[in-house]
Amino acid sequence: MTSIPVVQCAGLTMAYGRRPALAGVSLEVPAGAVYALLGRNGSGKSTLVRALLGLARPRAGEARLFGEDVWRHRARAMARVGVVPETPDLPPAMSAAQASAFCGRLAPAWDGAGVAARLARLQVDPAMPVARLSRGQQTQVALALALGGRPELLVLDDPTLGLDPVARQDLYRELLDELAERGSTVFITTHDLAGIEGLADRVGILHQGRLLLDEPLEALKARFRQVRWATSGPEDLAALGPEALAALAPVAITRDAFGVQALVPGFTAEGLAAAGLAEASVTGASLEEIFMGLVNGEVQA
Amino acid sequence: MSIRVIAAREMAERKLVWVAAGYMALAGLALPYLRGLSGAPAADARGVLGVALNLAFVGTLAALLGAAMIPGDLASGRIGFYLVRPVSVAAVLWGRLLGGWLLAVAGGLVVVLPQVVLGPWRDYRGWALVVGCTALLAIPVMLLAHVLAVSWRSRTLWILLDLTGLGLYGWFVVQLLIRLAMARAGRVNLDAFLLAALVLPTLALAVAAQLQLDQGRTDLRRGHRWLALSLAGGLLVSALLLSAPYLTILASSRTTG
Repeated sequence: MTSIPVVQCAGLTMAYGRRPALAGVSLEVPAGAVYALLGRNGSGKSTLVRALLGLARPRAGEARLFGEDVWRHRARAMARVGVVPETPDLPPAMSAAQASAFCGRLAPAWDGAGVAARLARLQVDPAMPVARLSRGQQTQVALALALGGRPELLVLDDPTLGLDPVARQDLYRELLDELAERGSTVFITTHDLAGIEGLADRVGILHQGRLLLDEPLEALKARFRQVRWATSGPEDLAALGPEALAALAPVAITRDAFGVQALVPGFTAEGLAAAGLAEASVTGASLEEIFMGLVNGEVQA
Repeated sequence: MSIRVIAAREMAERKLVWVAAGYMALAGLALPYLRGLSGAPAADARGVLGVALNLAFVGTLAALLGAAMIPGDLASGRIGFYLVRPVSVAAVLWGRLLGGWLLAVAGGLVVVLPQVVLGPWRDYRGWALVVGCTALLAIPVMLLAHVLAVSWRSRTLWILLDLTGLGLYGWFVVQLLIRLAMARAGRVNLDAFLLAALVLPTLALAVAAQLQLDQGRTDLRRGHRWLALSLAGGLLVSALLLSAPYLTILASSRTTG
């Protein structure tokens, strides 16, 4: 028997008026996985999250949570989901304690004591109106509330945006604790590539509304290599020739004062030799390097 | 259950309304004396002022809350706080509107309470009628304010359809009323006609508000498209239903003529 993925997008297409926002995005997140969706501002991450939460209707395709069309069955799905939005959206006059009590009356299962303990750990005054809390503290309140319903799925839309390093670390620590304790599925969109590297087990890269890549993080890092060689000038790169470039098949090439660096997927020593770069240095690529290469890279002949 | 929870929260969040209502009640008591009146004229003035202040307070608050609660949250993106909870869209919409309406009506009660207790008009049934009518009128006021605020905040050309539809409906009702008044000769109950002229568009506004949030959710523009089309349809149906008595009169005069 195959288990139903917790998150499923199939051919998801969204648009704002005539402006396309997502073009046929398909992805799946199995139960217990931590999926990080990466992308630049305006790449469509928040739009995808809105579709996943049943807050916006896809123009084509579908978004499913726990196997059900979330647009149709939003209220039922939300009983199993905790959400940390990109921009804190708590009513400004409400305090964290009032918000917890309110959410507790609407949720089928609510861990009010857990929310209070989490707020205490994060040093957030539960009696302070949300409007008087800092941006980081509002996100912490949103996280505490998201975890209060003991969710099977946690959706976080760029939760580290505007957080200082300490608040960011606190957020990841809370997430790790939750994962260790309950093994929830996590779907997170973020710009914080370094932070997410130790947490995610699968990543997707969204660029201009299209999913460029979707695979396990370890496999991704094993697949990509940075190949670096010294050049005396731009003519060396031109001299590399189209055959060599085809053998190397880089997704991005960058030049600096010391040489050329190519981000190469599916790296093989034979490919390197065929490109005439047997002497080049080869290193592993970080998630940030892979992301930058894929969304910002330029391959020049 | 969810509607009650959401309505209660809406009421609890706006404590300043009680303060404002208290001040209005005091103003209603004190104003006649400040104008130099005393004795029976002052007491009567207090009674009239109580009715006027109740109407003004409930009407203004209903309009302000209707325009601010959900349209404001839609524009600022805060509506997501409610929509990521395990509650239906209807519970969010009607819970919040119910909370705002109860607040306006209860605030209005506070405004008239001193006049009811201390005033010269000990006609409690009369006061109940005043408060009841104000409360009922607050419903279309609140819904209209809600719909117009959504329409305005979505910044789409559908607003033209909304304004044209509402304007045409108002013009049509007035024209129909004039013709019915001239032609009725005891055959049409004008009170019932006026009640229907108010209730039918209120239902159209309610349906439009429900479809707007249900089909648009956080997408204000998409929601507004649903709102505009359903409101136009609802107003058209209302106008057709209202014209039935006049058409009946016309048909019978042709038969008899």
